[in-house]
Amino acid sequence: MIESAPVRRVEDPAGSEPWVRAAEPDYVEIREFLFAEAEQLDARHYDQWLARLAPEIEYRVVARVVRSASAEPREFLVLDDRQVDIKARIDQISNPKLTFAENPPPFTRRFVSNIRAQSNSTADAFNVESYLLTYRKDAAVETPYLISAVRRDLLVRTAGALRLRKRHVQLDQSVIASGNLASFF
Amino acid sequence: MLDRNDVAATWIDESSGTVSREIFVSEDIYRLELERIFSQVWLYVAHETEIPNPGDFVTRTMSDAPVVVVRCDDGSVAVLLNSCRHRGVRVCRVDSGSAKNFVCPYHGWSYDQHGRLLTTGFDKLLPAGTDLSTLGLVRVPRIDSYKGLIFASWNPNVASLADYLGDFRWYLDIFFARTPGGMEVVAPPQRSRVKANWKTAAVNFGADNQHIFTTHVGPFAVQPVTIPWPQRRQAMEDGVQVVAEGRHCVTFTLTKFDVPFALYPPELRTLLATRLNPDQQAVLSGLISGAGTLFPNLSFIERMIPSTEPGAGKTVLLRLWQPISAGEMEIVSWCLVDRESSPTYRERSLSDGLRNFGVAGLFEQEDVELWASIGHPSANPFAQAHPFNFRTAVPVLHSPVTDFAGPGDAYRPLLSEVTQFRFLQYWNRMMTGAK
Repeated sequence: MIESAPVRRVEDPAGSEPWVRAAEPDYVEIREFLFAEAEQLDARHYDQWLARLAPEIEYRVVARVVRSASAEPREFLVLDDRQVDIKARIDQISNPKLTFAENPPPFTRRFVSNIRAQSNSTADAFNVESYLLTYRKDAAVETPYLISAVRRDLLVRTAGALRLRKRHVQLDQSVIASGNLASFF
Repeated sequence: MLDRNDVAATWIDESSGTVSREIFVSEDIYRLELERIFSQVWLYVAHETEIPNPGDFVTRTMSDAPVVVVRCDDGSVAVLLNSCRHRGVRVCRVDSGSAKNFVCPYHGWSYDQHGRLLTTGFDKLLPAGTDLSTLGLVRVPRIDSYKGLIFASWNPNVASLADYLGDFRWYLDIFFARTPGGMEVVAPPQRSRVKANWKTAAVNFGADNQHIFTTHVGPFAVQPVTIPWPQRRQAMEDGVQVVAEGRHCVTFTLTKFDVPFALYPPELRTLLATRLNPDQQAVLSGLISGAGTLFPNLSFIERMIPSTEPGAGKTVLLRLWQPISAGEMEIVSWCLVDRESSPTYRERSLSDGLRNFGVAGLFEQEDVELWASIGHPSANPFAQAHPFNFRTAVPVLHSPVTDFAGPGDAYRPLLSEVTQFRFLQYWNRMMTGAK
């Protein structure tokens, strides 16, 4: 078997540039970005959310394998998408005629916290880590469920606005509590 | 609790093509399934490439019992009940890893990879004459593999795996042993829980071709189309569904390409022909999609990567529907590639496979949502007075077609529910002891 890739750290787009703690105004902007996208996803305003993604977006979700503390960590892949794939997902779940997973829509609430941000020297690229707790209540199942995750993002500033260039989501589960993970993290 | 003698003869009715709702919701029937099916037959536990090196192990479930599947130093595979003979603690508390011995964390009873007890840690305190060789981990008595697929059985008297698979090997070869290197598991399996009966998934893959037109409009609408609809429709007409050994099911949509194996990357095309006979090659060469269920709970699917380039390739997934109760299962899902695949193709095959048939799959997210809505509406007497319908099986049930080269009973049309119904008829025979 091919080993799963080690946890991918978001890479420095500008080479070996030293990262520093993001300045306060940048941090606030980043925080508002994360809060606003959570709101847009919960409200199912997928087109608005899509506009926040850089065209070269790399979006990857993994979950964990239970391993001995002395063994090399492993993950299993949940999804590995580019912009075209994300658009296809959105086309499906935002069209009531094409989905039962999201029609009737589930109730979701995304709680974002523990945000830490590092900046490059020109303050146009940011390594951002955040914790995400997603509440989801599917229409068909009475019991809601929670999924906790850590997100490692690369945000870039282009034409004055922040865009999500990379997102690596690690779900804190080894058996996904639902068979339907149609939502974005 | 159901008595051995009071199982209903009316669960399946061949003349009407109906199936009791109860068998998808009753905990009593689930417990009887564990006894009469899952304790009796061969069950899939792992792929050889998950445990390539001595000491490598994965933990799995066989008939509601946790087991460790381990590659031993001599290259053999042992399947051990994951419960210490001393006081029952799990000797292995992880999903996968590598170990020389399994040491119980509670009092230190230590076992080798074959499950033999090496020491209790307090051997001198045992009564004189205590034979440690009688105190090993419980071994699953029968283990065998076919083309990389490892199976085990709790039944010491079960017929050989070769006999159990029988004619279905002809089809397994097409999916799992078509290049010299065979198939390889790409990454640790996805695992997820779904509130549905395991048979719902087993018959969906073995094979419900009707629901593609209702449940799965989305993935065809939002992804690139490799093969235009008229050709795909003809491929469904030309396709076939097969029951082998009366219990294992597979379905194919088949077309003909000018270039053999046109859907695969060029570097794989010549290799794909090397291990298959001409009839098998003809199936794989024109295969748009294929899916099947190996009785009772192992399914698989191969389908083309949606792309505007025909040679973009395929994805192959292996799915285990592990029952947890009558109303819940764990889905374990492996993505496989031909070992000769390039690194780029591997990645693409994996990500496309999961984009369509994983817990976040464009197909699967729709299926599981609907499967999870069956149990509650079917668990009441008002519903159970009215069985499920597999009526489109009836007209063709006794008239398989004769123009398909593969073994077993082949049927058309592809949209008939005939193989699903025969799967459940076999289930019924095992459950009731009927002939």
